[in-house]
Amino acid sequence: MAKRVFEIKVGLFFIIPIVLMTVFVILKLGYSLSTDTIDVYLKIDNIKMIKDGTAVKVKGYDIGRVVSIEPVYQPELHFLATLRISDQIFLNEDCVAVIQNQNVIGDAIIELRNPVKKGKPLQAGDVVEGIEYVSIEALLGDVHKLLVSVTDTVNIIKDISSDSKQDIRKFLGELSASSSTLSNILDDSQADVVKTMGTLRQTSETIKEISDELKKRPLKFLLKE
Amino acid sequence: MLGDMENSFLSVRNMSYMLDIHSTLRGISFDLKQGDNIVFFGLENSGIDKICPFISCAIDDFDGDVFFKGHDVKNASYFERNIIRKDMVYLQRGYGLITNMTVYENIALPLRYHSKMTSDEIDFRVNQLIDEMEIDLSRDMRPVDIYQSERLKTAFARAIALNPDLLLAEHPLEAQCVLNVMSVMRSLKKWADSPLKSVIIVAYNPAVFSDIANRFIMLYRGEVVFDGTREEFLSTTNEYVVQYMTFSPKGPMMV
Amino acid sequence: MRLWGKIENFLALTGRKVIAFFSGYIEFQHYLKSIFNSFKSLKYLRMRSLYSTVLLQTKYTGLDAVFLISVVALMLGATVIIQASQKFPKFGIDSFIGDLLVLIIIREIGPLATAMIVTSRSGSAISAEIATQKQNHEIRSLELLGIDTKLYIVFPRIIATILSIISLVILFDVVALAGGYLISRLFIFIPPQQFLATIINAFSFEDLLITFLKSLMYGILIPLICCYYGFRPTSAFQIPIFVSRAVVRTLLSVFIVNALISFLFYL
Repeated sequence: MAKRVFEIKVGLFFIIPIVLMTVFVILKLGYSLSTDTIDVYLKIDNIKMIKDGTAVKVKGYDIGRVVSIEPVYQPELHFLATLRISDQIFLNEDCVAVIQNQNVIGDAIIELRNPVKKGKPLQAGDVVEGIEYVSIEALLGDVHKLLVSVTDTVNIIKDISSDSKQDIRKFLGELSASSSTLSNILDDSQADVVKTMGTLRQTSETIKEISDELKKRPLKFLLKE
Repeated sequence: MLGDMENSFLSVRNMSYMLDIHSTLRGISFDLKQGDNIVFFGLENSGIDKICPFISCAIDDFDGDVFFKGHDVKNASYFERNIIRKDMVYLQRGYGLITNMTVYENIALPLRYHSKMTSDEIDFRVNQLIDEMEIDLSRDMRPVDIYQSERLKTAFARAIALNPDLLLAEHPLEAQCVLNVMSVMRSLKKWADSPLKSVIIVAYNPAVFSDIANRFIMLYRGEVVFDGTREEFLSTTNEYVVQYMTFSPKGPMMV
Repeated sequence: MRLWGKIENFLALTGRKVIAFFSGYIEFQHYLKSIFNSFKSLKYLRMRSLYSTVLLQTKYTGLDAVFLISVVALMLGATVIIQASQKFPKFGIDSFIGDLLVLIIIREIGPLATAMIVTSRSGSAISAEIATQKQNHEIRSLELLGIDTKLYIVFPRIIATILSIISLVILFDVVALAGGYLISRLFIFIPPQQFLATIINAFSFEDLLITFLKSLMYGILIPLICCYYGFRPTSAFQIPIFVSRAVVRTLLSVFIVNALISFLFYL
């Protein structure tokens, strides 16, 4: 009897870790333990942002993940990513997949969005178009270029005559708006983009100078030779 | 000659060994027919302690040959020797019971390792041996928890579990009360009486085995000084045997 | 003259060490060869005879070590998270934490810490047990029963240690991750589903394979080296010397193998 108990304990010692590992592998393969899953395909032009395991979400709620990515060579190179997603969420067959970053350093996610008009439900084997592609890296690159250009422009504007007062006002308004947008982006993602931050700081200082000057001596500023 | 050796049950030829004055054997030769039983006896340094290790080739750096059922034991490979040892079991001095196994597991060990018996058959055989040796109460105990006599009974049961043809028993009754090991003696007698089984016993007290063995060999300084049948042993006037059996300091042997 | 004497002593000492190293190496090679040769006996071996040894060894190496492994895993998981939360920026840590735990705990610390615990607990016990059995003539008695001792003693211990280490590494990882998560909640709130998702994302099948490979290697190495040193003592007073040597050399081998595997697969 004692040996039996002993054997059972040793058996449990092997079985429990194996069960834990199996559950983990099942989850890693994209299956869900609580709900059934279906496999659908995502057609994308490049796989720069997604990889095996990339989360698939609807309205921020995790419904599955990418389990494989296969290249398709014809008619031109594109990719089909297999999304293993829960079948409990209603999705239209013409839903779209937006590949986006959660924040600057986080992994990309695939956000599935239903169209306004409801249609047939998305079924296993259907292909979803990856119609939007937002890369934070690319965006930051563009922002950096923009800021450099803006800073240069502002510096030139400081020196030029005030022939186009109206334009300056308009420009300053737009500049303020883009500065606020950039601030929002960078608040969300405190990335290691020292260069971008530096440029932004420089631009902000220039803007501050102009704004202060404008506030204190608006007429003098506008009529400055 | 070689053909005779190969055909005999056990044949030992010119077994010699020289390590020091205390560990010596000088050209020991004898044959054992199936069903015969021998007792080797003699003084502590007479060489009797080398008989069993050499026959079983537990130590094999000696001169001479040992043939068992046609197999050259000394020149057998490691694997062949393991197979030979299923039929030639060596009950060593001190018994060598496995301390982390119970009495039951110790007896079942050779059956589990060598035999093709099912678990039920092994269980039956082990229980049979446990009953025969009268060690039922200690069946689930480990060797450290049992008496010396029970250790001998367990070791003996383990040795005969596979029903070997030859049993080499080295000082089996050392530090034992003979009355406590009557079950072993009964079993040994039954074993010795079988025409297909043989036993070689090495002991300091050969008289205890006088109704078991049919041949007695006495060694002194590595040489045979007496070799005779039971009757010859009991009625001998051989001065070596007389001195040994009467515990006399006077005689041809230097003690 | 005195200087020459010192040089001579130094050279002699060096020579002795080198000879000792190579003779030890050759002896170990012989031992390995005898183990491989013993596999020929597998055809005579009935696995049931190893059952109780495997069971006992698994109980001691695996089952009895669960508590210790859990405590160590919890502490290490917590330490990693505490260090990470202090040294790394707060933003995005929820997605970064999975990578960090997989990188440090699952890939490296889990198998290594488990191997160290198994070596200290069971490796020393294996060595001492075999050495004592040898002194009690138990090993000789096995040989006299026609039992291939290399196979009968080493083989079940290798099986038991492999199985135990695999189970212990999985338990270690689970406890360390769970412990890491609970501790991380003191600094930052991450929803459990998201934590699990990041761990699953960060963990690859390659990591799983390498963890198994490491467990397999340790499961072979630990009993193999410890059994070797268990067979070495020729008298009772040598037992502690060889037990200590077994533990130290096994640990050294474990570190080398760990580094080699990481080097081969991750570099």
